[in-house]
Amino acid sequence: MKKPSFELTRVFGDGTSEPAQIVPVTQLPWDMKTSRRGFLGAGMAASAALVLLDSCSSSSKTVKTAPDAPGCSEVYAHSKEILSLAISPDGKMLASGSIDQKIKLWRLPDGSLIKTLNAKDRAWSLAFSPDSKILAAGGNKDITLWNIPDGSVKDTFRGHLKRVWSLACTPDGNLLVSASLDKTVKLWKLPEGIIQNTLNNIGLTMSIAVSTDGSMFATGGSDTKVRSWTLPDCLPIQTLTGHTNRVWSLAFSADGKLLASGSRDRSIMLWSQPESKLLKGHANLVKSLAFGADNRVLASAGNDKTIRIWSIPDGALMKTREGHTDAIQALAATPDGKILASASHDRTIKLWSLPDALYLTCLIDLESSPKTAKGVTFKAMNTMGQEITYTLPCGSPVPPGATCTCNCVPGSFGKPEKAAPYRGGGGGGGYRCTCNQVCTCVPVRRY
Amino acid sequence: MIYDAHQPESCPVLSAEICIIPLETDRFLVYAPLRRAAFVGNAQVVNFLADVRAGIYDPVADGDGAMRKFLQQLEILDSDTEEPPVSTFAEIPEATAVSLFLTTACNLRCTYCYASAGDTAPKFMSLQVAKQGIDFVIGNAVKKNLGHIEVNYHGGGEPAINWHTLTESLGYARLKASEHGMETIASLATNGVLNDRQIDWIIENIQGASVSFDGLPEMHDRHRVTPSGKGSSERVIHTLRRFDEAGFDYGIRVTVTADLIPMMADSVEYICSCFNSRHIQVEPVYQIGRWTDAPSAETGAFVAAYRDALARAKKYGCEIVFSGARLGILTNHFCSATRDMFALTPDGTVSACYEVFSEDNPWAKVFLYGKPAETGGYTFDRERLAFLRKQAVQHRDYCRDCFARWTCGGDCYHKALTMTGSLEFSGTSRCNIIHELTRDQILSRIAESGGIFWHEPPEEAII
Repeated sequence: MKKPSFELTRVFGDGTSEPAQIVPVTQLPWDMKTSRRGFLGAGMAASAALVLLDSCSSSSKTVKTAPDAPGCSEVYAHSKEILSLAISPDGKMLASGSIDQKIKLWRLPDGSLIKTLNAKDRAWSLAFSPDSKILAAGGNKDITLWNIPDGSVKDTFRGHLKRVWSLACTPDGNLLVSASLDKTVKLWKLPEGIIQNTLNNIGLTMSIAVSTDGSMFATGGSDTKVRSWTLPDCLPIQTLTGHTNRVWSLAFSADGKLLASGSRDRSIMLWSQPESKLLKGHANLVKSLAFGADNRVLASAGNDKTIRIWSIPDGALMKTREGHTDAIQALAATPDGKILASASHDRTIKLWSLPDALYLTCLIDLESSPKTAKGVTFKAMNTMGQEITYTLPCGSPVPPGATCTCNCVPGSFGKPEKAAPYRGGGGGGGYRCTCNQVCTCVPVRRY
Repeated sequence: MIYDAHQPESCPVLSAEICIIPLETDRFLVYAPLRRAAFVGNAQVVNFLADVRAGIYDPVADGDGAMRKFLQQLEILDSDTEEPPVSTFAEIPEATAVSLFLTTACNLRCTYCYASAGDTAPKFMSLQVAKQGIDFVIGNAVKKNLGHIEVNYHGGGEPAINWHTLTESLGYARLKASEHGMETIASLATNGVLNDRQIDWIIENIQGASVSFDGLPEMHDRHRVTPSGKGSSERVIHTLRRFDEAGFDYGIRVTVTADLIPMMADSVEYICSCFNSRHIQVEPVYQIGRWTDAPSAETGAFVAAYRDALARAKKYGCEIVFSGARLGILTNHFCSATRDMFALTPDGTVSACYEVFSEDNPWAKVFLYGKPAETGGYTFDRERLAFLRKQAVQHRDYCRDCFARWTCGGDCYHKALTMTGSLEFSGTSRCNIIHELTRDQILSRIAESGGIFWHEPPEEAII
């Protein structure tokens, strides 16, 4: 065998006189379908790489369970604590609600901000209609229905007396189920908003989940019990006991075979008739649950700031991810079960892959972030032929053909064609350049 | 202005072992193995580093010093001295782990068996031989004030065939270790063809097992057969299901022959989707024992299939590993053969290699390095021991300029001896696989770290 030789020696380049450049790795080599070439991006000056190393990533010497993704330090999704998340059934959109009284719509899977809705109320809970065209938001009393994607108010349902903790829509889109701090659970007929049924004798209900086939829903709350009810009649099916404190979260698996419940007692119960399984690991209240990866995993999160991934059906703890600095309020998984979103009181929303829970990226709104925050902003045509401005964390891939509207380092992506005044709604820079792979970052100037 | 070695205060200092791995035209992977740092750069970056090593630095060409600063942050320039992971030894071995080759007998006749188990008269380890080994490691653990000893049951054959010595020796180890306040950690390599009584005992008494299972039943049954030629997958699957039901911790070893390469990814996916084990070791078959003259599986096709298997395993949260590509560790040895591995053959001879379990092995004079002493303990052949210790990767001329040397540790010396017949390591076809897969791992670490660089200093440095 020839002796391997990888020592440092001078090498010949491709004949060009380009300066020393760092070249980003844009995807995993084995993800290349036909050739192993093409997994590298366009080269960048060392100064640009240094910006990423210095500012757009965590300290290189700090090894965490889930180190911050490049571009995700000191950027936020909302200006105040985030309370709720929902992913549209078509998997293309994520909605987030916050104490800042804004509901934000984010595009999936890249996580760019599409629209901000001024809600005039905190969105304690969110639920999409099955056709993804309506978003219901549970506020301090009212439930507001928003038209998606244009963001106009379609209707307001009034009936609850206190904040609406939890919302869920039936798969046929005919009913909306809500649970409120007023100790009632209501079934609303859609689209009219007529109250079809009210449960008012089960104490405080914190969580609701509707089964995938729409035949029943489950409630969990202060009496520590998980109850199931028929739809649309609200007849009791059974009461499941096992938790020793309030039940804060519920989720049905997509195949309907499992119901998971998370509690203030720090545990998760997996209910599968006739058996149940107790999952322990969280150090605090389990606030949210989501099944993913074809029901092979359950994600859980809560006040201990961790996301835990449990294998299903055996319930073994597979991963524990740290990534938020405050209590996690909500989880949501895409319908294909491959992406998990987590939202926290720390004002951030993070996206993770499933089932391995690898940190993908964060969602950023520069308007909700400090003035020193940095992002990549670029314009690209959507499938409707509209030119849309996207904002993503520093270091995010920029699609071929997109036009950078900020963060361009002249020369990094080719020679600037001409200086053009920025005409967009939130970026700066002043240079026009075509980005092939990765846009490096400099501070965004906002007005 | 160009600074040179005559103006050392101005010239950066290369403070890392650097490897340059060509990727494509004008694109090079710059890898500092001992810093656990890497990035991709163009030729000018490589030449910048080469110049720095020669004492040449042009601050004008480096603009505002960005390249220097970038490399400083990766500890490639101007950092403290690197510390290679080099083993230190006592004068005579002070092992606190013993591997017991309980028997050469086997209940299978795998076509590719490295041990050709069943072809020769079987040998069985007596309980006395096992006890002497256990006493030795307990004595060493007491001297070192350790809290545990390790007892590993391994092959040559199927350890569970020698059931009496297996169960009694572990009971003895537990009893004796507990007298000194120590725990006993037990592990087992098995072919998985076990009865329920054995499975129950293993679940109760063994901390971890490695089960040989080649995946899809039809693939497994091609090569892993009983003496009558019947496939063994049904029995092994039963064992794995029992392990899963009990929540028992086990890994799976998949051996890939050339004919099974096209099915490797399917087999891995089958294992990931059907069983709880999340640790799967995938190895191309060794061309030794019964498989000496069979086609090699150490090919580019293996690498391609491994990549496919890796991607599929990831979907299930499964980890697949190939023994030579292990970016997660820094080491100077592939296995313990070069650092006083203490394994006992059935007759009690001390071996440094899992594959050398009798004097009949052509390389017995290299790996068998000790004998039980009549008065207890062992006498060691110092010359053989010194020779084995010299096989650590830092002594290998062949590996000196290989980027993978501090993670692969020099690969399997026994395999190299068998393939080349030379005592001096001169590489094997496994080296190609190691290079490809280690390079993949470096690139994926960069991609997963944001795409620009990877820097994950060794844990000692973090703490």
